[in-house]
Amino acid sequence: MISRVLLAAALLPLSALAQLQLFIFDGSSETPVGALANVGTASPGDSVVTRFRVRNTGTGPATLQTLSLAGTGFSFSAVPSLPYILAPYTGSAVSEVEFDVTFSPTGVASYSAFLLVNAINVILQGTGTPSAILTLAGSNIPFASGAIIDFGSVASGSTKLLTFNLSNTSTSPETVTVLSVTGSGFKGPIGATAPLSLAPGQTVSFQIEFLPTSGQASQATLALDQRTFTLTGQGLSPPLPLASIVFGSSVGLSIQQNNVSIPLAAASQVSATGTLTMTFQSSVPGVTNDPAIEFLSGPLRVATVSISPGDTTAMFDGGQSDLAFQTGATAGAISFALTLNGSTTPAAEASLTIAPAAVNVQTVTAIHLLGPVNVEGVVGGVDAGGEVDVSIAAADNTYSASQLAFTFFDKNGAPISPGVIDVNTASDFQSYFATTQTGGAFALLAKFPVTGDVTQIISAVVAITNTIGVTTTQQILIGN
Amino acid sequence: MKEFAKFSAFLAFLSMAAAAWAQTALAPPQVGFIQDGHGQIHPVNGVAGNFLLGGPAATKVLSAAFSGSFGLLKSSSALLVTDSRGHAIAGVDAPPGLALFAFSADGSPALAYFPQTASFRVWDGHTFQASGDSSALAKQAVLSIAALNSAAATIIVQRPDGLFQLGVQLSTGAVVSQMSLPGVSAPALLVANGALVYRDAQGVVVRRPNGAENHIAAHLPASVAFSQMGQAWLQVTDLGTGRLYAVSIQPGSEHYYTLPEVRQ
Repeated sequence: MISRVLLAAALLPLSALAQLQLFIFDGSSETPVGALANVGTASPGDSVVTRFRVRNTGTGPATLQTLSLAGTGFSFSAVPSLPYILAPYTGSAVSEVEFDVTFSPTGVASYSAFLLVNAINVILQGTGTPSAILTLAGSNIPFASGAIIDFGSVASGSTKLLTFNLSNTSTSPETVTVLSVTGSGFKGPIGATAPLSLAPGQTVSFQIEFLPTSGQASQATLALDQRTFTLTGQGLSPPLPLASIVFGSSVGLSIQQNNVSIPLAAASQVSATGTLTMTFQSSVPGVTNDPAIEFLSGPLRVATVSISPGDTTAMFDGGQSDLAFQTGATAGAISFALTLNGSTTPAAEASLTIAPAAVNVQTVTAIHLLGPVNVEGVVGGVDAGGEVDVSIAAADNTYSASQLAFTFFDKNGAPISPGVIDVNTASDFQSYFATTQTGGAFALLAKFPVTGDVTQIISAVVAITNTIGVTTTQQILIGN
Repeated sequence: MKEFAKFSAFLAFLSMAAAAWAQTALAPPQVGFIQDGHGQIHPVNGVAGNFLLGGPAATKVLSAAFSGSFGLLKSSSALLVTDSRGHAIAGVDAPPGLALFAFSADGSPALAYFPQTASFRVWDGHTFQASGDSSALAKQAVLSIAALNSAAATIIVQRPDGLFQLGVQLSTGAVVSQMSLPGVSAPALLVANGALVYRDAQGVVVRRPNGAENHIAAHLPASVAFSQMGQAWLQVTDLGTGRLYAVSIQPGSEHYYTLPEVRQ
């Protein structure tokens, strides 16, 4: 009876053992683990991680309650919290649990350790193999395989070089067969090429360059035989140099062709795109726009600008460093706003104030038109009457022209009676400006019927009054 | 005493006329018309430095010129005369190809020349009449024409040794005079007032009938063509890009401007 009880007691653990099975899992396939498991090789300073999988293959739940590791060079790097209940095996992950063992040899030697999983005993074996030690120049700390080597933050367009040392600290020669850098943003190795023989105690240096071309993070891989290291770096977009808006002429006048450019405070190190927007705020009551205020190429009031590395001036479409525009014929303010890279906050603003001004007379012409008018009392012939036509092309940026004054002169330069002929045309101008699409520009034709010898009217002077003042033309000769 | 009486009468009449003055007209100022790179004609309103381009007034135009009072348009098969507003007032069949035009000093039509057939048409006040045989000009590279009168024309031709100004008898096409134009290079344009316009390294040169020259500073594109777009206004066409510019040749107001881009 006693023996039966002992037998039964002895069988219970056996039954429990039979529920758990241990595997090495490499990420895609699993290998059953027996009493001995080889985790591979690693160089001193490097490490190799082995993932184990415990599975409950029984029909009832099992508890993982013991997980221990004893031996130099081995350590757990990822373990579940114990006790850990494993569900009965149904083919799903709930009946499994995984843990990692890291082998990190400190020297060139064979290593072993005892792994205990509940009642499963496994002897782990690993080998420390000679290999070149990778360090940063000036540092004695070797990089472990898989280490992340950060180059830090580097401005786009700039570069950063790091110097590495490969050292053979063993007593026998070593050969590095793979030494390469792959990935964008990094260049190297510079100064060393595989295969590379290292005598005992020899150190070889090489460099890796980080050269970001944007403000993005970069990552690459340094391969050293079987080991790999992750190279990281952060590209920085340097700020755009300050931009300003400069006018070819800073004098705000109507009916001018001006140009605008966008110089930068320094040569840009980065690219940018944006728009230069022109807006107009009229100071003439009741007038909201002047269609002649426009860029002379491209869209009317929006220009595309671009900045490339090295530019000291933003460029407009077509590669122009400046852009012509018209100031129109309406008093007000022409404002420019530069926005870059999608920002709604202007990078620069400028305004050109077009002050109200007296009428700007561009051209005045006057001609005689002869007519078949006989003048009584003239002895010996016929005086041809007719008319004098005065044509004026002008601009009134206040839209307030009101009074015209004409003075005609004879061949002696004397004013012809009745002298100054004043004409109030305020309502005519108001009607015209209310409907015109040419801003304050206007053409005026004034006809003066004449009976008598019209050819004796030699010259004329015209004065036009608006709210700012009076514009008086020079004496113009009357043609035929 | 007679003269005094006459003068007094004149003053009296002028004074009456002035008191009766009421005929004024206000309108948008018109600079002229331009021909764009798509064969469209656009009115140009405004004043110098403040141009406003209108929509197409004519299409499928091969050659055009405007004096301010009239326009001359050449399509593939017709020659049209327009008024100052761009409305057609006369038209005749015309040989194929481009045309060169000339106006009278008052801006009225005068002459058209068709290089492809080396033939002239002369304006008689109502329509264009064919001139005599001008086939003698067939081998000449004619750049510009001007009308001296209804029977004679002046033309500028390009020869290997430079530009020459020729006098041509319209009835026969015979060259009756010729004169080299040293220092003048193409493009060159004869204007109705007798001026010759050409380019130099600094811009545009206007050689007045009295020989005086006005130099108008301009950064001209590499390859340009000149045409008359209005009274004392020339159109400058960048043959590389189609961009248009304007030159005022009004004495005392000579200047080079950029025209607003023709936006389709």
